[in-house]
Amino acid sequence: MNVSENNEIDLDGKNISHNNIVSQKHLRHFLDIEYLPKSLILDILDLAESFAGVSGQPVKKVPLLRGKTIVNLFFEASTRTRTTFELAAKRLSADFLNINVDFSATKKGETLLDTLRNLEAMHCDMFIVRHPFSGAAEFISKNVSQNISIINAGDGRHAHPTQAMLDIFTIRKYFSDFKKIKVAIVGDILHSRVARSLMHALRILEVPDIRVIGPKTLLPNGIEYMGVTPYVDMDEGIKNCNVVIMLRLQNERMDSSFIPDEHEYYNLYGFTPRRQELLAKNGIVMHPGPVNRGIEISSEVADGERSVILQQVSNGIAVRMAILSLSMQP
Amino acid sequence: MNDLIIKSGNLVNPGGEISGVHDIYIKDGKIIGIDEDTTKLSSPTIIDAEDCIICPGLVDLSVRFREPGLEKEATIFSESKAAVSSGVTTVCYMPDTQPVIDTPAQIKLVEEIFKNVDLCKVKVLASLTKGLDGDRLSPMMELKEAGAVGLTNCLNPIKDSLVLRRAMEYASGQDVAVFYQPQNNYLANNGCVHEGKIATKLGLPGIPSAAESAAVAEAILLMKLTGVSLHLCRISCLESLMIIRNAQAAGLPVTADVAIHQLFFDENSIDNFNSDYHVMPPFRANEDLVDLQKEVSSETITAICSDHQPHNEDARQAPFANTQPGISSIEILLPLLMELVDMDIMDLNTAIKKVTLNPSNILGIDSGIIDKGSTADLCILRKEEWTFDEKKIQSAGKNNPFIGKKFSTLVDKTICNGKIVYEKK
Repeated sequence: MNVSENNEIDLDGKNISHNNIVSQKHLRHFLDIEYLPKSLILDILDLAESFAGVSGQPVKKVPLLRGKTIVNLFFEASTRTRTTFELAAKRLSADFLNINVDFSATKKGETLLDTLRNLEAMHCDMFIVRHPFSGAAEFISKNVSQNISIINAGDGRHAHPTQAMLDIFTIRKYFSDFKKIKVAIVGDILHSRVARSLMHALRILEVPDIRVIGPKTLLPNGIEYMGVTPYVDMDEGIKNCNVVIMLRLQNERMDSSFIPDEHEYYNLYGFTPRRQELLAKNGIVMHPGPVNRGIEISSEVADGERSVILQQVSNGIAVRMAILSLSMQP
Repeated sequence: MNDLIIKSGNLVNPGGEISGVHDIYIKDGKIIGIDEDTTKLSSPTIIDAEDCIICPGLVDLSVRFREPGLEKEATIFSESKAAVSSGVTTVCYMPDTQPVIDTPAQIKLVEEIFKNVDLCKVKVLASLTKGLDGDRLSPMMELKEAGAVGLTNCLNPIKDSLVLRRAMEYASGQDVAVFYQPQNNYLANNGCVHEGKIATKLGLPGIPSAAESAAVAEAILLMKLTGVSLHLCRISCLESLMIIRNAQAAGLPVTADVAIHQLFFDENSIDNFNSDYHVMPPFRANEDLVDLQKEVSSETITAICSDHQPHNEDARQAPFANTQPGISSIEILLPLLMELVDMDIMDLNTAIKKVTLNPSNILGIDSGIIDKGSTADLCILRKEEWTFDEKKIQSAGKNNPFIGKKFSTLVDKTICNGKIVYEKK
């Protein structure tokens, strides 16, 4: 699905040379992790590795996407994702445009397709899309002209593939062999696009033990079909895990009878220093942000030495540079 | 009107006395004789139906032709053409037009347009509550007098159980049937697909089967309390079937129908966000599909309908949850039914009965049977392979996941009130 129907990429292609990615191999769109081959995921991580150095240089730019125009098309609010995409694009020397659609055209009754047609008419090369409806990025990709690539920056509850890529990039910094780790994702699995993309990525990378932990109201029906084991008991679920990924509990969930209150949630699923002791010795703690301190995670843990939350943010730029450069049409 | 003789067709006539190969004589819209010309027809048109199946014209329990109010989607003219091309001679009209059919004048208007179009016949279901608001009872006696064959709230929620009870109670007193599409909207919670593994994977909000079956159970208990004549519309899950089966076994005269597409697809069809498969109720788990296919021959599922819902292109051009649900399916109702026969899911007689005699009985109309003296509503079918081609769709709605499918049987001619209203070119 992510790969062009014209077979523009060799699915088993390995050792992509950084200098000629654009001319030889590229993705058509980057919509979802589900159907990506393992080799391609690893290639993206390797490429991101080589981009990670760019941020440390005095001139933080490479000329890979010079002359290309990239548009951030956000139908939903975002700070972190929007900003890191912008930085990634600028470090690749692309021209960059931010459009918050929620506050402009659609409020005046313009349909999504008409908004797209108008932006297409401005000759842009790539849309980075965030939208509140599941499947929106896929829908948009089917309705834009051939020369435009779509990057999914989050669609409803469905997918947030660049976040999952930066998460596994961060995990790989600590654990080189995915086949030897236990990973737990904790919290609101039901509404989380991050969790869904992560489950696909970890499954494809052959992580042998993937767990999802939360109250039954936030663990959706049939989740085990995604290759994970559900746990309601957090202590049992995180025991001996190498990686624990905490999800944000959205405040509006409190009002709609998913959970009784913050206090009970923190007791059952809050990541406290006591629970941290249950992890494997080398275990790390992750969070896609924004963090609700004292609701899903205590400050001691969030700021503690096992926390890699800020590294995730920095890694986000390099990983997104890799994805943007691989997805740009020649 | 020309007199007609249909020669040597093979009659499939469930519930009727005559079947097998016969000649049918038609005059002034009536069947005046089988194998005998009782009144000497004057220069009749002769149709050679050798090697063809002849069945009663189809009675479709649920259609939306969008008129009045939504003519940009479809019209009674465009959809009547689609209906007769599938052998349908009577359609049951849903009241969720704009404005809603909740006054005698609205019923008369729809009947008038059908009369002018003059292809198939209409029976109107009026709104159970005013404006389908689920709160205030509609004037049931007036609607019945004006010709409504029953009352329904479509998929619009009824405010609470007490309103449903009173609506059923009042309808029972006026001797008018309630057609209830079961869905507990609290449990449905704005979902758009079946709550199961695909909804979970795609992150689409799901509707659990219990949203339907809980409403089925409630309706059946209220039927017992109020004595209303109850028909349950568009059943989709095995738990609902279990409850209906038990109620029927206990002697309650409840009837039920399924939409034809529910006998073909399960939740896996929506993988990849294909909105052609966005229907309400949603396609359920595979075990539900298997159970529906198993039960469709029994009396638990009394009838099969098209649940025809044409949409224009705009209604489909959006992310999945934002698209309008429904399939524009009426013109392949009969070919799909014959497909089920080919798949050995039903025998021919049972299949035809589910779209002719049984729905006629549910609506309380004199139709669905071939007999001397009965109205000449007939469908002539023949075996011939054909492909359902998007360019040749009669309906204004092209929203149909069956486009490109090959069928084994086609409708050769449709006769409504003794007049040929459709002829395969």
